[in-house]
Amino acid sequence: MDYIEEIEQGISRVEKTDLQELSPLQTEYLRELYVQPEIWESMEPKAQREHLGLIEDRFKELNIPNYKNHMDEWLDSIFGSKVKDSYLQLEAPQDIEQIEQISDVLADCKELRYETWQNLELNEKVDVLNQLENRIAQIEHRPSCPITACNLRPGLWGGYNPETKSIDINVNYLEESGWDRSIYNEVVDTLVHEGRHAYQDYNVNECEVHTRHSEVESWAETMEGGKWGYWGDCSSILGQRLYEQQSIEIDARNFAADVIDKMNIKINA
Amino acid sequence: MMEELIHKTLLERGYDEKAARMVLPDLLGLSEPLKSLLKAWLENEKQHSDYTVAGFSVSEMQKERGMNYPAALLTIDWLIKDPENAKRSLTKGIR
Repeated sequence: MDYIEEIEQGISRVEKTDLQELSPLQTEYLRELYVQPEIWESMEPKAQREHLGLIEDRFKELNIPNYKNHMDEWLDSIFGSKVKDSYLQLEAPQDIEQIEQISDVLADCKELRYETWQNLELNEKVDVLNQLENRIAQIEHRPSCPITACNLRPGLWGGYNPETKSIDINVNYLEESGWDRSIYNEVVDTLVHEGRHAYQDYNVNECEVHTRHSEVESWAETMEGGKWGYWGDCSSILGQRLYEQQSIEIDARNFAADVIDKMNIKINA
Repeated sequence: MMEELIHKTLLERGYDEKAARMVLPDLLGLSEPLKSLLKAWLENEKQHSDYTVAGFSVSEMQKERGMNYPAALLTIDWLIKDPENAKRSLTKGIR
């Protein structure tokens, strides 16, 4: 039995679904590619990308299912924060992969199952949303945003604040989601929708990780003259149609709808 | 002429340049019943005449959805021109 075979067999003995932890043998195999932080910092970006490619190849070689869902945690623990940060500045997965991975995270979250969600206290619901946002942010290669339950007017589900880099969710809807399934669906949709706005903001204003530059440009144009120039509910001055037809809103709405559809398919499978 | 008047009035009543430029084409193209409401508002800021379409009214847009008068007119205009999409959007809310 060769080295890789031995490691692969080690995986199948543990569990071959969505491993939360690597075995010592897997860790050791990955650690062979460890680079000292000072050397990492002195490397050219191209060399860093190539090295990250080698690391990713090893995850694939080890045949670890859903490794991308934990990639940044493992990079942090095995290779250190500098390597993890470089990974997060790499191009994010394509939208279709993000949708797949985020819907996996949502479908696998026991606390988000409606029968469990109904019985959670308000602060527990907010905790669950924050944990999910952390996972979504990892998948989208962007920093995570704190989520707070806030008093917002009826009809306003939530919002992403590009100044504080935080997400607000309407506290009344959060409470009602405990007994009204349709409200619960909208709360989950809002979580993904606002996360997408955080992703758009990150791409336009901090670090472009999105795979399509033309889309980032279109978001930038909207931010220049639209929602980002008028933090808050810009429908109050633009009217509902101009608000809804901003490129960032169309994108966030479609992205969230695709994630929720996939999540429901996975839950009902 | 009308374009200049609307633009100038919007700036005087709290719109910044970008927002005024965004809403201007839609305000110029308002449906007939709403045109006269806009005209009245341009003459007198306090003139907020109401109009109802498919169960939604200008005043409701202002009171319940926090819209200013021009934004409320634009939303009612959308309900007149594209009722299906406008209703779906208003029901879905803002996020």
